Amino acid sequence: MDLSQALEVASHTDPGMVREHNEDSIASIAEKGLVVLADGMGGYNAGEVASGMATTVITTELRQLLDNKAPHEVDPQSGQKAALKMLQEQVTKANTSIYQASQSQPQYAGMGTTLVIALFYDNKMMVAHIGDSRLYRLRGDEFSQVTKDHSLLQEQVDAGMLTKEQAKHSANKNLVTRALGIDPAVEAEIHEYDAQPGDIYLLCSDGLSDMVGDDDIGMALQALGANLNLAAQQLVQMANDNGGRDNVSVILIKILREYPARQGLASKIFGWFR
Amino acid sequence: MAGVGAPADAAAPDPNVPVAAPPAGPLAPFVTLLKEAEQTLNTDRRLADSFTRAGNVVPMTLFELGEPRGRPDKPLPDYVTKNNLSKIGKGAEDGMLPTRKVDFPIEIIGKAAVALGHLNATPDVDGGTRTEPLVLGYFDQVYPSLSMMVAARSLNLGVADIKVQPGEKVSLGKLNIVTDPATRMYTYFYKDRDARPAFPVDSFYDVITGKIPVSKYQDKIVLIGPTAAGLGSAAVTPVSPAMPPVLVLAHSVSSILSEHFFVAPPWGYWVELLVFLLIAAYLIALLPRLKAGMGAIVTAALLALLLIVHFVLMTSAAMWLQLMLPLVLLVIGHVLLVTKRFVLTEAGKVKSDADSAESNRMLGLAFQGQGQFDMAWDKFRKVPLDDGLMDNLYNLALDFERKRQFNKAENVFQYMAGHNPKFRDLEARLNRAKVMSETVILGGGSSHPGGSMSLGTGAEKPMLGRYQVEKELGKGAMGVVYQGKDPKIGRVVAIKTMALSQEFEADELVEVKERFFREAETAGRLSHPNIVTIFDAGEEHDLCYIAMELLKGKDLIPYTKPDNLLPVDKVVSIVARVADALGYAHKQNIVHRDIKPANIMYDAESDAPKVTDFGIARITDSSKTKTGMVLGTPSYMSPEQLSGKKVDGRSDLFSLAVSFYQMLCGALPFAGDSMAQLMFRIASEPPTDILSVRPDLPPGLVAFLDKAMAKEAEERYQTGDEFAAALRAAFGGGAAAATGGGGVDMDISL
Repeated sequence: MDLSQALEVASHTDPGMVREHNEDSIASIAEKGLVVLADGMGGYNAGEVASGMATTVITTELRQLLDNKAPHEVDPQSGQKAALKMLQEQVTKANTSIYQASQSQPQYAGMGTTLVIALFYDNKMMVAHIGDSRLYRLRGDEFSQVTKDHSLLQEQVDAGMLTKEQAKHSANKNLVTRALGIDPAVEAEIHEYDAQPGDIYLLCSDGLSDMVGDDDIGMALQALGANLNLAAQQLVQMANDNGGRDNVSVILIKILREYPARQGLASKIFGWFR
Repeated sequence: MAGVGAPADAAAPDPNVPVAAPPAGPLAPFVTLLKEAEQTLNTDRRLADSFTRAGNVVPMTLFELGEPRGRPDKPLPDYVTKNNLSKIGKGAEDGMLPTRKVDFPIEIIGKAAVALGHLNATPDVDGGTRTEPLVLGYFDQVYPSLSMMVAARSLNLGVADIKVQPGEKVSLGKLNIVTDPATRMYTYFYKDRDARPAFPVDSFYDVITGKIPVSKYQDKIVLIGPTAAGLGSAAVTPVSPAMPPVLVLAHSVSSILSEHFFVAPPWGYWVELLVFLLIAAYLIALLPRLKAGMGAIVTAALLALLLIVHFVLMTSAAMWLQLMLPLVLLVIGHVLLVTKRFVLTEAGKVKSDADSAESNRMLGLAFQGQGQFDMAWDKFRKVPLDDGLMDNLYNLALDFERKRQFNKAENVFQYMAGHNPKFRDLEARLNRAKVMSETVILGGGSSHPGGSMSLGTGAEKPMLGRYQVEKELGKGAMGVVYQGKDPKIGRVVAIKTMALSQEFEADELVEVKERFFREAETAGRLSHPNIVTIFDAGEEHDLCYIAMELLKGKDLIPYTKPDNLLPVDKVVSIVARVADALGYAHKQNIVHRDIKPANIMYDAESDAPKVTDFGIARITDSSKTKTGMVLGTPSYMSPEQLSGKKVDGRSDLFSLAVSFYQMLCGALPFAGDSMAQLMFRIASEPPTDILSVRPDLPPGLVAFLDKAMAKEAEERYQTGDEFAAALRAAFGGGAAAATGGGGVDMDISL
């Protein structure tokens, strides 16, 4: 089914004030309810290759998969939704592709990327993420971080070694504990959430979350939520105003209305006219 | 300017004009002349006289169409008002076209005429004349058209016989003409047939000069009017772009008399509106949702339907539904929508071209990373060539070379040369790829049994998994054995390849491969000085391979020839150590299944026997198609193995005993002319007495061999250790044998 009526998507990506290359990569297929954001790393321009490969492989493959199978369908054997398997498989595929490319082509050696995927279906959202790119949610007045970074810093916070306040000023912000394409195998963290009309979701690379405080991001979203495009540009602008030391990418998704999965005959008839 | 209906001679100047008698007097000739002149020069009167004599002439009037604002200037003369028709139903203003002024013939002519009819045409908005206003309203009066009057007169009907129901129909006696809401008739315009005009047109001059006899017009309706181009205002009609009004009149008269006029049913308006709305609804709601092809088909179908309905109704039922308006709407709407869609996608395409180039490059890299080079090549080809892509392509070509797919590598190099022939060492590589692609069998040994990889000179070293293949060592039963090197740690290995996909049908291939890797994994766990170590197993193209310890020596086959036998103590020492190795493996529940001299490697220099091909040797047991071939000769098989029972370590020991026998005397214990005979002998006959082949062997050996080759597994030596111990004991002290042979044994053998 076509979700472009139920979801409004806006995105913006910018190299920032310091870097020459934009190693971030974003992609979205609004009608399939799929958004992907990747923040590449690696020397020369290998980072943008890694992030580009990740978003391209995932959107290309998922577009085909979603054409053939509805993500909300439950697999009778595993009892899990098709979306989970799709995401797991595609993350694995992207990881293998990047890893092999970095192994076989010297100029890409050691490249890798973070990844956030959000897939919307049946009034739900499934999020897969690896690394320190984040997904936030604005619901009513409450702005909160949905994903938990796979970073050394986060682990230190979890272990009680640092407080959140200390973490803000920590030196080793950029050390991720998981990334796509670094090892032969990687596991993405995947969760499913309820989505409600009026929610605004923000996917961003660490170029935004390192430069702009969560409170400021939340306030900007609340103020500009009516105009997503403007909001996306404003967030990038805020990061750049604060120094813009890294590439900044944001994807904003607003839930305009409910989007329950269509069942049975009606969807077939409707589908015929597509 | 006057349309006159009468026999043609009515309008001709009459030569026999009566002349009044001349008055007397001097002026008489003058007066006579004057009167004569008055008579001859007063053409109006002469015409009127002629009308009177004919008695069947209907001249025309001309109304000025328009809503009257006040009252008429003055009442119309009698000879006009006598044409006023009686109407039934609504007032004159409704249902017929109103007029505010009328031009009528002068009194003398009007009075002579039998009736009057108007000749107003009412072209449609496009300028075409399709209708004939049968009546026109003049204040509260109703005046007929010339065509209807002529038709009525020809039926000998008068004004009293014409009944008008404004907006619905007009009755001429019993002839009913259904009209449109303005009391207009839809005229039928006759087409020319076989190049003959629908109505004959004669030149007035020909009639006057007598060229055409007047009798031709007897009992016919004659319409008089100008037909030459440039005279009068021509009308646009469905059959002609410029038709003189007199011919339009002819069509109208004929339509009335032949009842050929079209009928627009009173519900027609609603139907037309409905069709129009339906078409509009289709354009608004359905068409944007249809795919381009489906939309075109539906629109074409609707178009055809409208046209067919329109013309079928017209030609067969003489019914006129104006379906052309919805039709035009359909065409214009469809064209506009398609154009809009096209323009929008075009705009999107320019943007997506750049996007898709980048995404194709990424996908290409991804495929290349996954080892799917052909698909990677497909993707790269869709990307515009630039310097960045050249690096990717170069790598892809190298990958192709490593896979020995030189023709594909050449393709890539050639593609690159189109952009920059000087790129790195492109020229040299291209040339070499060309040479190689012409000489090398490609595609993973597609035609070479055993999946050979050609080792050309000067080209890239082919890769098998992570191993560089350096040279060919030999050919095994299932594939070629190569010497390879792990470039990362510099270890030199032997790589045994098996073209499983050639040996097996596709449906069993998956299972066989699974088993292959399972076996390789099990064998990889074995670590024994007399067992060949396995490092790695993998799959490349359609080749499965096992990387294992590279041995210096060769297998034992040369030492099974009668003229090349090893000394007995050596044989005993070797076999005992192999038995040790088998014992070790059997303890781990690993059965070799194919113990034979060919699978025991022996390096004479270091005196180290090593069992090879653990587990994988019989990988093709399940091959249905090539069982016979894989089986070879089952000379070394145990009886239980031959009968297909589950085998255990004792079967290996049986095979080892057979090998031992052969190495001692250079002959097999069981031999037969045919496979069946051989199998029978193994299963049920005792081995050939070894002393009959080589009498000098110690007799203790016979008992050992008999036990080792017992038909029932329970009767044999049960373990490798037992086997080895018994063997060593049979030759006077295991210590001597275990150390690799002493002088005593030498004496025996000599």
